[in-house]
Amino acid sequence: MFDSELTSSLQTGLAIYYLVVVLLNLGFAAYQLRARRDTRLAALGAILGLLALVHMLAYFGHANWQLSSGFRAFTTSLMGAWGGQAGPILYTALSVLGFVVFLYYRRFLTEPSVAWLLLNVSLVAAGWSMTDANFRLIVTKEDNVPITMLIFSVGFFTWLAMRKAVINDDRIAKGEPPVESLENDKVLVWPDLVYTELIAMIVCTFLLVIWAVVLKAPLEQPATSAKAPNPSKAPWYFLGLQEMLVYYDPWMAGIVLPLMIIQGLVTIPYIDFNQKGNGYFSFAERKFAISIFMLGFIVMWVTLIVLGTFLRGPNWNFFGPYEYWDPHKVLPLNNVNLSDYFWLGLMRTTLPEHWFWRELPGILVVLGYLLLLPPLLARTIMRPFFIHMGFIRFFLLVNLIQLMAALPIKMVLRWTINLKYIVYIPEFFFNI
Amino acid sequence: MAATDQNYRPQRTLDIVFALSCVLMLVSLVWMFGQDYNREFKKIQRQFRDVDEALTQRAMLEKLPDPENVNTASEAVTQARQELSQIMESNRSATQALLVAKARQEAEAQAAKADYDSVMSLWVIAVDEQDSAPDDKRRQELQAAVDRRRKQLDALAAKLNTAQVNLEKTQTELSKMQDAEKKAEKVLSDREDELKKVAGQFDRFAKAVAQKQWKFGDWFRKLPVIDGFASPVKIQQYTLTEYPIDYSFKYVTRYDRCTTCHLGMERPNFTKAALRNLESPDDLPADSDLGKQLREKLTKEQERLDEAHQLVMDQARDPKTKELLGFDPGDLPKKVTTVNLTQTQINEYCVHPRLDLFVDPNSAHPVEKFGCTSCHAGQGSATDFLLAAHMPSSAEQKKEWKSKLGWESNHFWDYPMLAKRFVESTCLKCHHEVTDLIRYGNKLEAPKLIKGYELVRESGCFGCHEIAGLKSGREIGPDLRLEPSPPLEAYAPGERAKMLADTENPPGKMRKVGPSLYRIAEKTNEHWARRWVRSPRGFRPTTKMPHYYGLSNNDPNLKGVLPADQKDFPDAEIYAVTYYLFRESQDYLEGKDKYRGAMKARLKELQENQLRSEQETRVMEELARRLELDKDPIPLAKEIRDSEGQVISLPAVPQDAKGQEDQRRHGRLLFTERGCLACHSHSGTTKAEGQFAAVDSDANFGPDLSRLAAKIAPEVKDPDAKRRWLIQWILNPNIHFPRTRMPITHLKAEEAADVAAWLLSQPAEGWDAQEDVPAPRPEAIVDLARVYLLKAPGMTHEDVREILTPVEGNKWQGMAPADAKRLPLDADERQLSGPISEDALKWYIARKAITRLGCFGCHDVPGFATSKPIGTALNDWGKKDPERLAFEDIVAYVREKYRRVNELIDDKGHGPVTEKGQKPPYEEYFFEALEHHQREGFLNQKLIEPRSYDFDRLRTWDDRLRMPQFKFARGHIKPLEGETQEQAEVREEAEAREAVMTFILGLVAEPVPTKYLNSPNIDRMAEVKGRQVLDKYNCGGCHQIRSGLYELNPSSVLTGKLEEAYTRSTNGASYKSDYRTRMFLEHNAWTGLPSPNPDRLMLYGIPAPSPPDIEPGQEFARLSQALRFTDSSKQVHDIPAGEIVDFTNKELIARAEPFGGRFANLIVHAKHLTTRDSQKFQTAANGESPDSRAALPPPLLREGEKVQPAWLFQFLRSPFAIRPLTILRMPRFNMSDDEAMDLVNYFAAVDKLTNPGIGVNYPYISPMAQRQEGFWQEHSQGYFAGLKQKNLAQKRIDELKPLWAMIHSEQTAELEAAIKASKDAEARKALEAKLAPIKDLAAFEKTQQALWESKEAYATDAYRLLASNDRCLNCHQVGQLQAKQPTGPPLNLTAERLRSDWTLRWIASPQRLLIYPDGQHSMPQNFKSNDQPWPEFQGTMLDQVTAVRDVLIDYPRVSAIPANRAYHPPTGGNK
Repeated sequence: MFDSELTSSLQTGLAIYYLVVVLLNLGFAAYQLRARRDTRLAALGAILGLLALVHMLAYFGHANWQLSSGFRAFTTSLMGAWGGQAGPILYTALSVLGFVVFLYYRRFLTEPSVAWLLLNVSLVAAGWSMTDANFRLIVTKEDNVPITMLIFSVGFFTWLAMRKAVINDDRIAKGEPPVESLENDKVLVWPDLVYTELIAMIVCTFLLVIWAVVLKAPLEQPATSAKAPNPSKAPWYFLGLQEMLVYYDPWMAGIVLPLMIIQGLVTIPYIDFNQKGNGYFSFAERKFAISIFMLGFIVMWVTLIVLGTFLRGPNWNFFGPYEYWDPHKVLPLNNVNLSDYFWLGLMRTTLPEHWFWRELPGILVVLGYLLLLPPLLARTIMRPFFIHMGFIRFFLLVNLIQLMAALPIKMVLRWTINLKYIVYIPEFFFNI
Repeated sequence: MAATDQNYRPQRTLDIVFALSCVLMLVSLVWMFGQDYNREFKKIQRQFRDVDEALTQRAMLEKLPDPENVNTASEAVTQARQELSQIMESNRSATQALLVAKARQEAEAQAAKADYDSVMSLWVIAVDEQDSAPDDKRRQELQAAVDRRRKQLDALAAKLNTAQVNLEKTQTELSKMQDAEKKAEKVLSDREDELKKVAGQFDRFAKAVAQKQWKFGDWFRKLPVIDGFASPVKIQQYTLTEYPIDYSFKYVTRYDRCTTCHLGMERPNFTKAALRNLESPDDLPADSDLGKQLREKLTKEQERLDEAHQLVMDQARDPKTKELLGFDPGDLPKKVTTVNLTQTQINEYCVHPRLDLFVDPNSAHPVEKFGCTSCHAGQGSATDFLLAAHMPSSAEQKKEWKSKLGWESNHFWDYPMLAKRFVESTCLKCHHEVTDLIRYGNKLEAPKLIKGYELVRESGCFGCHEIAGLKSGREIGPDLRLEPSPPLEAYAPGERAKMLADTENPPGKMRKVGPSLYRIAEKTNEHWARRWVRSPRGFRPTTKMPHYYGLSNNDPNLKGVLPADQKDFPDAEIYAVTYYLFRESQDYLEGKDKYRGAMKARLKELQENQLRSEQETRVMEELARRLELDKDPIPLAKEIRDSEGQVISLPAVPQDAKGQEDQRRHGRLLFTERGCLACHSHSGTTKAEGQFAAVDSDANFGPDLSRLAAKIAPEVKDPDAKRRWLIQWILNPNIHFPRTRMPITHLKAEEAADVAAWLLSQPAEGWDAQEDVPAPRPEAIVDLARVYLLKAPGMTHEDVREILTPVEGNKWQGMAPADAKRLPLDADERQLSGPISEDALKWYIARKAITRLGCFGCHDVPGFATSKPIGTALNDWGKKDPERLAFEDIVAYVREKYRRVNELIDDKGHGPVTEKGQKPPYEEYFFEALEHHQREGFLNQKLIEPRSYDFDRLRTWDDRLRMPQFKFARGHIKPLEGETQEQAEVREEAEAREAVMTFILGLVAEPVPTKYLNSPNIDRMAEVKGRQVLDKYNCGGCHQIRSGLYELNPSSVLTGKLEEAYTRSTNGASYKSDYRTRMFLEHNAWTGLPSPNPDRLMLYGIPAPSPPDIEPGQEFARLSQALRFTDSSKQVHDIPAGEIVDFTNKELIARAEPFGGRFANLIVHAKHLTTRDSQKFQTAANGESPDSRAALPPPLLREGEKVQPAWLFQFLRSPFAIRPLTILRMPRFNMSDDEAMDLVNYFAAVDKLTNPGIGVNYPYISPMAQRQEGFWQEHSQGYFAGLKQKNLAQKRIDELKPLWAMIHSEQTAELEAAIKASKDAEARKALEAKLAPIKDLAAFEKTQQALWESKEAYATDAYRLLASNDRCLNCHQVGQLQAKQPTGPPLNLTAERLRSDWTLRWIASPQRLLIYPDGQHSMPQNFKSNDQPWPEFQGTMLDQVTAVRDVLIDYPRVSAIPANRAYHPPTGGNK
C-alpha cells in the first residue's frame, strides 16, 4: 500500500533512535570496563555500538535504508499461506519453540553477553521494521505503546529471574547457599523502604506527566450501535482472552476459561507441594511449577496479547507484520464440526435428528479427555505426583492443566483438520 | 542473616537519586505548565488583544476630528469656564456679605418662630383653662392671664414677620446675583456639548484604545500558572441546551466554543479589509511597491496619531476638560500599532460575512440560539484547530493548512465541519421547503442549495432514490417522493382526503420527469428509439435523459471493460428494450396489452368468486378502479381531439407549394410568439429571415425542439401520421401523456397544423438519420437471456440449457408449456413457453433490463406500473458512514483517466483549459476526498461517472453498477469573457454538480427540535409553497412575477443620486397628478417601507434601459415599490413606484434579479414584434417597446392585491381571453385544484406581506360595500343634495326626461301588446292594473324622478362618467357599449375579477401600479388630481374616481337601471 521514500523527519527520528542505541551500548561498554573490568563484554558493547552508529549515520545522512520490499512481501505471503492459517500457526509454533529453547538453553541464554546481543538484535530489528509504513502505523499507535513496553519489560524480568535462578542452581549444585540467603532478611524502614518508595513515587509521577504530555490520550468518536470499529479490540490486557474467541465460543473463552485461570491461581498454594525455592530464585528445584506457569503466562497470555495487538487486523484476520490492514481482505472459513466428520465422513450417513445422538461422539471425546486422562496419567508418567499429592489435589492439578491445554489443543485441531466445534449444540447455544 | 544497623543502600546515593528525581519532576511540571500556557487558544487570544487594540486605534484615527474645530470648541469651553469663574469671583464679596446676612436673618427668624410657637401654646393652654372654668367668676379671673399671653403673642408675631421679610429680601438679592452665574453655567454646558459633538466619537474610541492596551495587571494575570486564575484569556462558549448533539446513546448539550478563537465573529468592524490594513511594512523590502505604499500609509497614520495625541494633550491641559475625556491621556499609544496577520489569521479573526442573517442577535439566526456547529458542523467543544475538525475547501487551502497549521483530517469526529463550498447544505436541516430560502421576491439566500434542489427536481433523482421528508412522522427534510400511481387527483375526494391525512406516509407529489411510453409507437420508431437509448445527448445535447450505455462499465470499445462474451450485450439490450417498448405500446393502443388483459381476467375471477377474503375484496376494488381510470386508449389514427376534448378532423395540407410555404411561415410565426419559446428552444428561430427577427431562446424547461423532425417518425405507412401526432400533441398533449406539464395552448387546429408543419419542415442538422445501433448476433441475445434466466427463481442450469436449445426455424426450445403454467402469474418466464422466437427472448431480456435499470423511475412504462424505485434512499445520505460506501479501486481509475488540477474554476470564474490530447481535468480537492474516503469524493465521482466504481472489478453483466450518467448543466451555456465554449461547459457542469452535491449532503435525516425548524407564518408559507408551483409550471417563463432587489449601501454618493431622482420625480407630471397625500398613505407604491436592515437600502425594481452615456458601473432601475430614503438634511422622502433611480455598483451590496418575465423580455429584446409589424408595435428610443409588452404576457406584480381569489382560481383552472391586445393566450395547465389554490394564495400572500398597509385578505375577501343593499340609495341622496346645491339637479332631470319618455313608450307599448295578446281575462286584468299607473307620461316621469332622486342619481351620473367615449370606452368594452379601439379588457369583467381597492388605485394612478422598464404603458391617467373634474358627475376628481370604481364593482346592477340601459354616450368629446 505504502511504498515510497522515507520522509526526512522519519529518517531523523530513526537516527535519534539509533543514537539512543549507541549510547546504550557505550554505557554498557563503559560499565563493563570500569565497574566489571570485563573487556570481552566491553568489546561486545563497542562492536554493537558501532553497528548502531553506522545506522545512525546512515539515517542522519538520509540514506533511506528500508526493509526490502521483497522481504516484506515474503513475510506477508508466508503468513498468508494456507488460507491465512500459516500466520497463527507459525507464530504460535515459534513462540512455543522459543519457550522450550529458552528453558533448555537457559544457561547460555542468560549469559549477559548473549542477552545483550539479543537485546541489540531486537532493537535493530525493531529499527528496521520501523521503516515499513504499516508496521510503523501500528506500533506508534498510542494504545499500543504499553504493549511495546510490555515486550521489553517482560523480557527483561524473565531474563533477570532466570539469570538469578541459573546462578543459584550452580551454587546449590556446588553445595553453597543461594545468593539471596547471604543478604539480610530485615532492613530499616527508613531509609530503605520509605525513602525508596518516595523516590519511586516521584519518578512514576514524572514518567506519567511526561507520557501524558507527549502522547495524548487517544479519544475516538462517540460510540454508536450502528457502527463497530473494525477491528474491535479488547483492552490490551484482555487481548489474550480475545484471541481465545477465535477458537472457542464466548461462554467458554469468556467465562469458563478465565474463571479457571483465576481458580488455578487461587489454588496454586494448595497444590504446590514443593517446599524448595522459597525466598530465592531457582529453576532446577522447581522445574515443573516454573515451566507450567511460564507456559501459561508467557506463551499463552503475553504472546497472545502481542499477537492480538500487532497481528490481528480488520475482521480479526491475521496480518503479517508488514502487511497493510485492508478491511476488504477475506479469508476462507471452511471449518467443520466433529459430528460432521463422524457421521458424514466416517459413518457415511446423515446427521441424527436429535442433538444428543448427533453430538454423542463429541460429548464422549470431551468426557473422555476430562475423566479418563487423569487416572491414566496417575498410573503412568505422573505417578510420582499422584503419590505425593493424593487423589483430590492431583485431580485438581491435572484438570487445571487440561483446561489450560484445551486452548493449544483446539488450536492444533483447527489448523490441522479445520475442526470448528467438538460439541456443537446450537439448540442450547452450547458449543465446545 | 540477622538484621543490622547498616543501610541496605548507601544514603548518599539515595540522596542523589532523590535530588535528581525531584529535579526531573520539576522539569516535567514546568513542561506541563508550558504546554498549558501555550495552548492554541491562549496564544490566539493574546494576539487578538493586539489586533483589537490596533483596529480600535485605526478606527479612532478615522474618527479624528479637525483639530482646529476641536481646539476652537475646547477653547470656547475654557473661555466659558473662565467667564463663569470671573462672574463668581466678582460676585464673591457681595455674595459673601449677603450670605452672612442671610444666615443671621435665618437664625433670627428661627428664634422668633420658636418664641412665637411657645407663647402660642401657652395661650392655647390659658384659653383652655378658662373655658373649662366651673363658673363665670373663675372665668373672669383667668381672663387676665389670657390677655397677657395674647399681647405677648401679637408682639412676637410682628417680630417674626419682620424677620421673614428681611430674609426674603436677602434671598431675592442673592438669587439675582446667582442668575448671572447660572447663565454662564448654561453657556459652559452648551459649549461642552458642542465639544462632545465635535470630538465625542473620537474620544470614545480614544478611551477604548487607552483601555485596550496591555497593562501591568493584564501582563501579570496572563503569566503561566497565574493565568489559571483570573485570566484575561479564557474559553468562550455558547451552551445550547435545546439543540443537543446526538451521541447515539444519549443527547448531550451542545457547547460551541468556536468564538474562543473566532473572537471577532460578532463585531462588524472586524472586516477582512480592516484586518489586512493592520499590516506593517517592516518585513517587506524597502524598494518594493507594496512596501513603499505601506510605508507611506503608515507614515500618514503616524502623523494622524501624533495629531490625535496633541489633541488629547491639548484637551487634557485643562483638568476640567480632561475629566470629560474619561481616560488618562498618557495611556494613548505613541506609535501606530501594526500587526502582521496571515490570511488564515485574518479568516480567523474576521467578522461573520453575513451578520444580517447569522450570529447577530437581531438576525434570523442569533448565535445564542443557534451556536455555530448547528450550521457548520464540526466539534464545537474543541478548542484547537485540529480537534474542531476544520475542513479545507480546496486543495490549495488544504496544502496551506497542512504546511502552516499542521492540519490533518480528524477521523475521530463523525461530522467534520462542512467545507465552505458545501456550507449551504445544512440549511436543509431546518428549511425543508427549500424555497423558503428565497426571500424578498427572488433573493436566493442559499443559491447553491436552491440550484441543487432545482436540479434534483428537474433531473428526477427521486424516481430511483427515495427522498422522503418524514421519518416516523417527524419532518426531516424536503419531501421529493413520486406521486402515487394513479395520481392523487384520480381518486375520489374521500379517499384522497384519507391519503392526505396520513401523517406517517402522506402521498408524494412529484411527477415522473420523463414522458409516458405507453403510446410511444404513435410518436416515433424503433430505429430512432434505439439510437436515443444508446445516446440521448447524441440526439439532443440538452436533454435531461441520462446516458445508460457507452459508460465506463459497459462500453464495448473500452479496453478491458467487457469480457469478449459480453461485448454484444449493450447493443442486444438496447434492441431488446426498444423492441419491448414498441411491442407493448402497440398492444396497448390496440387495447390488447397483457396487463390490462390480466387485470380484467383477475377482476372477473374475483367478481365471480362468492367467497372472497377481505384482502381479495380490496384487490378487486383496486382493480376495478384502475380499470376505470385507465380507459381503453383510442389510437390517434382513429380520432384526434382538440383542447376541449372534442373530436376533430385533421386539418388538410395545402395543395400548392406556396400554400405550404405560407403555412410554414405562419407556423414559425406562431411558434415564436405564441409562447412556445417560454419553455422550448429551437435553432430555427435563431436565424433572422424576412420579417422574422432572430429570437434565440435559451429556455430549457421543455426540450430543445431543433431536431424534432427526426424524432417524430412513427413506423406507419400513413403519410399523415407525423403531422397527426404533432398536431394532437400541440392541441392537447394530455392525450399522449396525461401527466405532462405541457399546457393546452388554445391554438386552433389549423394553427396547430401550421406550427406542426413548420416544426416538421426544419431539418435535423447534424443528425445522420441512417446510422443505427449495430444489430446484435442472435447468440448475444441468447447469452444475455441466459444471464437473467440463471438468476430466475427455481431455474437450474439444466433448465436454462433446455430452454435455450435451438430448434428449427431460428427458434429455441423454450419452456415446456406445462412448466410455464405452473409459474406465478406475474413471472416473466411464463412468456418463454416454447418454442420461442428471438422476439420472445428480447421481450424477456427487456423485462429484466428495465427492472434492473429502473426506467420506470422517470417514464410510465407499460408493464411496470407498480414497480418500486431501484436506487438507494438518499434520505440520510449526507451523514452516511463512508465505510458503507464502496470506493473500490476508484483512486486508481481517476489517477489513470484524469488530469488533476488544483481548481476547476479559477479566480476569474473561468473553467479549466484543456489542450488537445490532454486528459480531462479533475479537481484535486475531490481526488483527495476520494483518497481519504470522504463522502464528498464519492459523491462527486458518482455524479461524474456513476459506474466507474466498477473499475478493475470482475462483475457479471447484471451485477454491474447501473446508475446512469447525468449531465446537469443543460441549455445554452454562454462563455464568459475570455473563455472558450469548452471551458464554460466544464465550468457550468462543475458548478451544477456541486449544487447537486450540496443538496444531497444536506439530506441528513436529523430531526431538528421543533423550535429550530423554519415554520413560517401562514402568509409566508403560502409564498414558499406557491413558489414551488410557479417553478413546476414555469409560470415565470412568461410572466414577470416578482421585481428585482438591489441592496444598496446608503453612502453619501447614493444619497445624492436619490435626491436627484426624488427631485426628478416631484417635477414630473405624474407626480403632480397623483393622489399621494390623500389616498395611498399606506400603499407601498407611494410610501416606502423601512428597510429591514438599517445599514442598507432595499430597492425593489426592474432593470431599466439606460441612457446612452453612462459612467462605468452605473445602473438604472425602475422602482416597482416606493423607495424611502433619508436625505442629507435628515429628511425622509419617498420616491414612488414607476420612477427611475440610478446607482453604481460601488454602492451595490447584493442584488437579486427579477423573477420571471423571460418570454416578454426575449421577444422585446429580439424585436420580434416590432420587426413583424412596425406600425402596430413601435420601438421606443431606448430600445424598449411598450407596445410589444402590452401584446405579451402581463407582469403579475401586485396580482394579489388586484384580483379576487375566487376569480383567479377559476381562471387558472380554465383561462379565457381577457386582453384584446395580447397576441397569445394564457394556456390551460395540467394542474390540480390544490396547486391552483397554492398559486392564488401565493399572489395574495405576497401582497399581504410586502404591502401590509393595504389589508389584502384571502382566500375570502370581505363583502364589497357597493353590493350592499342601500349603498346606491345612500350615495344618491347625498349626491342629489349636492346637485341641488349647485343648481344642477334640474339640468340632469331635463337630460333624463327624453330617456324616461323613451322608456315609458317602450314599457307601455310592451304592456299594451301583452294585453292584446292575452286571452285570459284574469291575466289581462292584472296587466291592465300594471299599465294604469304608468299610462300617463307625466305621472310616470314623476315616479321616475322620485326614484332617481332617492336611489339612482349617483349611479346614473357615475355611469355616464364611465360610459364615455373620451375615457373608458376609448379602449375598453363595457357590456353592450363597444370600445372605440378595444385594447383593454372588457370592464364588465371587473365586478367579479378585480378587488375594489385596487380598482380605485388603478383608475386614479395607473402609472404607479403597472411598471414596464420603459415606464410607459397604454393605460392613461384619466382622472388627474390636478385637472378639472369631468362635467358628467358633480364632485371632485377623487369623488369621480370613486364613483367609476363603484359602478365597475357593482356593474351588473348599475347597468340594469333603465336610465343607464337606455343611455347612449354622445360621440366625440364633451369637454
